[in-house]
Amino acid sequence: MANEHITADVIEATEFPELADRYQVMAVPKIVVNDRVEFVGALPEAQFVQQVLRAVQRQPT
Amino acid sequence: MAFISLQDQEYLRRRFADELDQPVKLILFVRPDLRLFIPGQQPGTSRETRQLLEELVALSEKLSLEVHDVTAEPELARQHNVTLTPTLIMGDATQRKGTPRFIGSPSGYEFLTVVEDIIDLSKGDPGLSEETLTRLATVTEPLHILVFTTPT
Repeated sequence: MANEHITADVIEATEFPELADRYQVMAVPKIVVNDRVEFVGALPEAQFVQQVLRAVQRQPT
Repeated sequence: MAFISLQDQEYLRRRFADELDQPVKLILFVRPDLRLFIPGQQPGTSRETRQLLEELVALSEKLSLEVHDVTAEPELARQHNVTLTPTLIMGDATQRKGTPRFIGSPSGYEFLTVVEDIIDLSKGDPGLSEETLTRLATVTEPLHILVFTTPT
C-alpha cells in the first residue's frame, strides 16, 4: 500500500497445495519475497521490514 | 444462507460507519465453476468468495465490488497479473501505491485481514510507523511479497 513497487499477495495455502509445495510451506505464516528471501512466523514490524528489504538489498561484491 | 452472521454484519456495519473515509473498490477475479469433476483438481472457491464479498460490500455504501471472469477477460487478468482464482485486489490504483491482494477464499481469521486492509485503504493510512515508511520509500525495484496463511 505504501510503495508502488510493492505487491503483497496473501495466499490461502490449503486452497493452492501445489504452490504451497513449491515454496515448501510447512508452517504459517510463511513469507517469501521475490523468491529470494523467506521466513516463517509473525515478526514485529521493524524486523519484518528488515527481512523483506533483504530481497532488494545488493549483495556486497 | 448468508456467510456473514447477523451479529457480525452489525459489528462490521458499525465499524465501517465509524472508520471508513474514502470509498474503496474491491476487484475480484473469478473462474466459473467447472461442471466436470477432474481428479486431482480441487473445485475452486470463486463462487463462495464472490458471495462473501457481495455480503461485505452491502454493509457500507462506501464499498463496491467489481467482478471479472478470467476466462471471459483474459487480457484484463493478464494486465493485473492474475493467474489464480479467486484473486481479490483491494482498492484501485487511485487510492494506493502498491497492490495488496488476497488469493483464495478469505475465510476464518483471514476475513478480518481483508476488513482491516479495506479500512486502511479507505483512510489512506497503511498503519505503519514513520520509520517503516521511510525505509519502504527507498524501494525502487519490484518487491513481491507472498504470505502463505490458513483460515485458522
